[in-house]
Amino acid sequence: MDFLSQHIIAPSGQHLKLLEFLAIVVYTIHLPYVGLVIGSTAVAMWLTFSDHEIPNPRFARLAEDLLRTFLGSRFQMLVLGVLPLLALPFLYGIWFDGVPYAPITYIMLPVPGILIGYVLLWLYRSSFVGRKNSFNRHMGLGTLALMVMMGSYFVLLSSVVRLQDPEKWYRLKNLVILLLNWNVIYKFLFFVHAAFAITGVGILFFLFRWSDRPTTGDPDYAAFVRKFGAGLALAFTFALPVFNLLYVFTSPDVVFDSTVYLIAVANVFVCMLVAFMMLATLRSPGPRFTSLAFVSILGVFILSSVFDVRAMANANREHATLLEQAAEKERLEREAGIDQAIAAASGANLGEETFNKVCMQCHRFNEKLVGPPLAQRLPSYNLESLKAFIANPTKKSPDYPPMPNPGLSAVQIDAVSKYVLENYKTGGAPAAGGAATGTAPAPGAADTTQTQPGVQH
Amino acid sequence: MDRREFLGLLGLASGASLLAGCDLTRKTEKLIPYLVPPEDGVLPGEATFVATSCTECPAQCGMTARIRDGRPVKVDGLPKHPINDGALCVRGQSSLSRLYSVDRIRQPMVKDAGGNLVPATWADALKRSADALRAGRENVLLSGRTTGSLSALMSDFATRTGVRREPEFELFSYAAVRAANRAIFGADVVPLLHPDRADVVITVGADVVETFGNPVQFSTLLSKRRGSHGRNTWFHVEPHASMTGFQADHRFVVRPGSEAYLLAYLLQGLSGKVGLPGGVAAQIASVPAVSAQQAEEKTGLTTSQIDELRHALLVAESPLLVAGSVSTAQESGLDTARLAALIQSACGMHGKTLDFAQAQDYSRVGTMADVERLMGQLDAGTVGALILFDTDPVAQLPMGDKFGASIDKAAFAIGVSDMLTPTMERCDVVLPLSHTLESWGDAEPASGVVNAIQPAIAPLFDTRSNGDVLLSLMIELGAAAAGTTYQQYVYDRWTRDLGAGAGAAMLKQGWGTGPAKAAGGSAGAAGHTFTFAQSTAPSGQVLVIAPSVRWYDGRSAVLPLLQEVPDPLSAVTWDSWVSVGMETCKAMGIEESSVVELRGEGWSVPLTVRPQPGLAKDVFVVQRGAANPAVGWARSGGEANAVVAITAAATGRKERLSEVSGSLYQEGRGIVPGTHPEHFNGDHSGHGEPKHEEVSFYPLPKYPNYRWAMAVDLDKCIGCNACVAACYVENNIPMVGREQHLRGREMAWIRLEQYYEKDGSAGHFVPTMCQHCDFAPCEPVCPVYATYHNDEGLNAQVYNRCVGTRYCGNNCPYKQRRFNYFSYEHRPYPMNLMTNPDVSMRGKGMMEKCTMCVQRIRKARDVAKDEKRTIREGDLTTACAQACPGKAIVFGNLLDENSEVHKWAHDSRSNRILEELGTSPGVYYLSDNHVKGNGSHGA
Amino acid sequence: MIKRIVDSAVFGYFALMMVLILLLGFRWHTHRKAPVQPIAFSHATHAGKLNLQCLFCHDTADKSYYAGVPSVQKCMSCHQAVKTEMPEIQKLTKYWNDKEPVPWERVHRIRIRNHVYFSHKRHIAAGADCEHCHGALRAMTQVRQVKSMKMGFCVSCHEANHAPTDCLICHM
Repeated sequence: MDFLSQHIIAPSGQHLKLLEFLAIVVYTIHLPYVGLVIGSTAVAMWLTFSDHEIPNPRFARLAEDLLRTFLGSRFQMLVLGVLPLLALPFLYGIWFDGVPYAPITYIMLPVPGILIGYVLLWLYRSSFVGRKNSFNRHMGLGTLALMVMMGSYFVLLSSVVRLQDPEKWYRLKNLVILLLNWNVIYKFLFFVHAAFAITGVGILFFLFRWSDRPTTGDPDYAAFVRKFGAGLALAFTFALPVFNLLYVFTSPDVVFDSTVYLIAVANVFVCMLVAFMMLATLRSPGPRFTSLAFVSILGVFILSSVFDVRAMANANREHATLLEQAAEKERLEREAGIDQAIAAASGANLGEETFNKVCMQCHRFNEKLVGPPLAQRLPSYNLESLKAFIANPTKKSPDYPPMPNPGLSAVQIDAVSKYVLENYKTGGAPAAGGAATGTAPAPGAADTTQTQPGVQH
Repeated sequence: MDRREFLGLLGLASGASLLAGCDLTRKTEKLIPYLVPPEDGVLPGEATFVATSCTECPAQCGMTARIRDGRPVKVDGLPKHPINDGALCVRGQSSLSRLYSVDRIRQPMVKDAGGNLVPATWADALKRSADALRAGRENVLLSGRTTGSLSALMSDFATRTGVRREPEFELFSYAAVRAANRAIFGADVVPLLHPDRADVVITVGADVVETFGNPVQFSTLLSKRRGSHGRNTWFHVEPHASMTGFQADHRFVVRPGSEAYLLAYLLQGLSGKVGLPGGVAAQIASVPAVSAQQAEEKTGLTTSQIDELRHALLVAESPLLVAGSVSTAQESGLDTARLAALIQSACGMHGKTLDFAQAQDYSRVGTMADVERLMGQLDAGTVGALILFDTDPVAQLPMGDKFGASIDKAAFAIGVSDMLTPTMERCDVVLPLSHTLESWGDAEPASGVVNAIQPAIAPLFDTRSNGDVLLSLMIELGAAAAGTTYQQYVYDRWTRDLGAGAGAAMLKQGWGTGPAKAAGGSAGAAGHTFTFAQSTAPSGQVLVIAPSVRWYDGRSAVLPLLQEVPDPLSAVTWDSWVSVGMETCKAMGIEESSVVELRGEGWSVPLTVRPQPGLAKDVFVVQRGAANPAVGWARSGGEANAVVAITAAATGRKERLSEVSGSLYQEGRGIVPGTHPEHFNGDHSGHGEPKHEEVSFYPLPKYPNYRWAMAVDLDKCIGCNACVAACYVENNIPMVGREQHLRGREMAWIRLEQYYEKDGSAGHFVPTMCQHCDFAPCEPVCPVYATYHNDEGLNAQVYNRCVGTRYCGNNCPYKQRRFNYFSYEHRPYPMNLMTNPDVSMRGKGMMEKCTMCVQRIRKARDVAKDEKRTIREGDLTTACAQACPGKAIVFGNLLDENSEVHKWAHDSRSNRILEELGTSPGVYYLSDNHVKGNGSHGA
Repeated sequence: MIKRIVDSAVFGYFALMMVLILLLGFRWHTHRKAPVQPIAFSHATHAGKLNLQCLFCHDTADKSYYAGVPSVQKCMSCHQAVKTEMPEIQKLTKYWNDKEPVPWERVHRIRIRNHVYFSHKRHIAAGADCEHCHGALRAMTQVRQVKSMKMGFCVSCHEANHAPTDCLICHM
């Protein structure tokens, strides 16, 4: 991450929001695809296997359809399966800029595995045709591919999930510790079930609505596909809320705010919608709501990504504020030049403004308030000593409380010092006005903003 | 700012920080701020120190109290104090638990119609007292020994209110010793002893490191001549077995009552000496002749022993001989004391090893004769109001019950005390005393030295300081202006005696030095006929009532801490016992824990037997405070009898004693450093390396900056248990009580192990604490990693982690780990205020042990970090090392070449206990010179 | 008929799940609620708006292990003049006149047994930021504990800043 942190400017609050949004987008386009790939592969293998035991043309055909539809093009694999992955380290790299060690160091780890996984999948798919004579190789490739993919995504998800528990980072010394955590495990289980669910819905959607070669030609195959897809989707959609609940339950306190909970609830709600649609599909003669169901199941993925990102942001609130402060500092440095210019142009105004805004909370020129009347104290100061005092106040007199550090910028201090030193001899004519408006503040003035001068706190 | 007000605020603050601080009450929901922050820059959570004086016994050492959150949590010797030089004995250490004792009287009490003491207001109690004092008959004031301002105020009180002030009552009145000193040196004092200036020390009966004179001072001075260099030789002559005896290089056991013969014989040896003061020579002439053979058969010593003594005394350049305690508290006691004084005078110890100029002033203390006279008057009914001021004759006097009866004969008895002692129970009005740490005042440990006494905490209860009690009585009687406070009185007196502005200095430094009393020295002409030859020494079975290092004359037995801390000799904790020699046990067919009936004329007391090696046949020893038989008192000297003839009979009953020693012998384990064959084959090569090569499965520990280690010089250790008491207070070690002790569940983090030679010729006292081994056997067996070795050499115990398997305790070869069988976290008020907030309270089911005062290390590190440096030698020491009167313990960083502990660890006498086990302990022991003994003194 | 039963069963199942999650939410909310203080003191006003430094009130935080609650006197030193008309300040004035300390509610509590030593002084000396452990106080009108204050929290920071992680540094 050091490499990155050299090449980025500290992100401001808006930047961070943007990064979070991008992360959600990445997950939204990536995870559902991976889900479809894994799910369909597994289903296809099962179908092929059953077909191998007791030959069943419908199984074979569905398996072929699945492979053609979901493992159809290398282009898909590249764009949806690989590229988004590469975006993740950059997003998190910027977000966690300056964090010495964090689970993000593990994010790149699974990528090679995933690439290998796709290669294996491709080999598996292409060995489908010749499976009759080399069945074991075909199945072996499939199993291997699945295992590699699953393993890689377990690592990926856990490193993402672990971002939500900064208090435990110090323990993440090795991969095992990273993975052995209920929160992570539930997340992974949720993902796997979601994968099969979306596969089920995907079967309906792609084979009935999307496919260039509609399966409607053969009614009983269509019925079989409908029942199979809906059943699959229904079964796994039922499992989702359980793991969702467990995941929420095992998440650390720091990740939560009320919206996070609402997202989790919404997630379950969407699952319910999908479930009902699938029920309807099962009951009705033809496929129904397939597009709507597919969108909703996508919604499940989106919501859980939002949940994760939001949780991550909550858990690392302080880190975010640190980054924002850094950004603020940089901004101020940039604007310091301008500030200078303003001060040069209208130093008096800056000084007077600052005085009315800050100093007059406790000081008047000629009357004793919380602090002593300036006219009585200032004679013992010159510009330097006064600036030094304002920059770092100390207790001066037993009759008054010590002056707190007003926390002014060097420019402000300079201006306000000049201002008071010039004006206290003249009885602080400008301050009189300020005092008039200031001495009778309205109740609850504490809530009024600082922007209007003269209002006292 | 007025100090009381300040303390008042602190009092409030204490409540505040108690609740707010991260200390005791984690469970509290409230966060109470100061109303007004205290001045003097007192920070919550930072310790402040108040210099004051210890008053647990008449020695009155300088004392400093560490204050946390407005309450004293630890007391220690006042550094550089002319008397005790930073050390504090076991009683002093425990005196804090008197302040926080649950048994304290919390408000004035008066007898109701039913004759029971019931709570009352000060006004009421004072009014009753005043009426009684006005009643007309002669009023009498009897007090314990007082010094300084209190004594002066008491005189004022007596003169202004017309109360007759009796001679003060102390059981240990040194009557015989003082009589002798009066006669020979013309000074009615107990001189301070200077073993550091002596090349030969002979103590006859005087338990100089336990109670006699100022034991702490004696120990600190003695330690200058112990250890490796310039060692002197110390003979101790006693009829019984005392800790002091076992500390001496040569312990000569004489027949009870035969000390006079020995001294007379030694004196004759000196008669040849030239340049004796005239009077003395005459006196020496008047001593009946004692032949060598006579001396032998009377004392039961061998020729060689007697000759060794005689020779040592003759050749010594500046000897120190002192007789006292049990040797003078008997019929022939006065003779013994006079003979001792004559020898002192003849050897010119006066001014050299005996300091009469800086002596303990006992002139106001009376003898038993005075007590008996007072009893006579009381019985005669001539006494109106009797004021018993902070004294407990009923419990202490041999004729205590009779005295109690006499108190009832007085028209009215006014008691002043901090606890409801047997004496107080017989009073009509009891005025509660504040503890010294709640009071103003001063004390005079030795003439010319004045300790300041200033409050370290606002009074916990509705009590008043001893001076204020007197003053409020005087005010009530119209003998003093209303509103006069003792504080002012003390201030004025300081200003008068020590010069203007002395007050401030006193409060800061803790003591001041005034004009010392003119030292005596003129040999009194008073003739004296020595009667020891006629007087019949008790023969047959003899009971010796010895002073107790824990309970002094019994007054400190009320402190639970001093019951919890074992007796150094017998390791008995909560019980009363009688020590019986091994031969006697065989002869009577009794053993450990069998009960014997001790009978004298007119009294009998059943006591449980504790076998005591080194105790002569037919000698039974009972400690003051354990039992108080009516043995009467010695007419000649005027001290309560300590040596009387008895008949002991086994009852056949048995009662287990609560004692904390596994065995009184080493059982051949070679625990005592210097006695293990592997340590010394002929000469001791020392340097703490085991003889066999070190083999370990575990990696050698690496210590980057520190290796905290401890070294104990057994030659300087006097086995007084001060370290144990200090550790109890510093580390919030629970006092678990008798029942738990019987189950072997004592919690002490440091204990004094006593191992005797089988023949009882010598006793070895080894303070053992967690040895913080490099290869600690406790560490690898902990299943939860609760105990481990940190990179500063500490064997750490993490309480949160501990699940209480006690494997570590099983595996510790030193048996230093303690298990909390119960929850002792919550102590009863006010005991809970004694808790040291720097040390967390262990909960039920946790292992604990010595941490080498890690809290102090942490504090030192805090300071060091502020100064951007590492911890230096002298930045900190442990509680035990700080308390030690013998200066026998040093603590520090072993890696620091210049540190004391490094020097000691590489001393030729250096050893480590059981190091042949390969544990490589972090505690080094410098073997005792006189253990390997047989004359091999010095190194 | 079967159809309705199935539907209601399915709905019931999902509804139950949603309720459970919401319950978790409530548990969390109550458990992290800020305690109600005797005086509605706002850090947002003092530390945020007025930009008072933390050490101005908690003045022993850099001198003692104990951060220190400002004495009532300190509050009054300003509030005898400032905002005296506000009801909350009048509460404060009442405490002051009754010579009673304000019974603030403790917010940060280490829930485990008290075997932990924590020194504010050392952490401030090491340049630790108050808000890292106590949350963004400048924005809190009502202070609540935002960090778990569990051991993981401490150690992660210690390791990140290469502070000692020997057990005895905190435990004893």
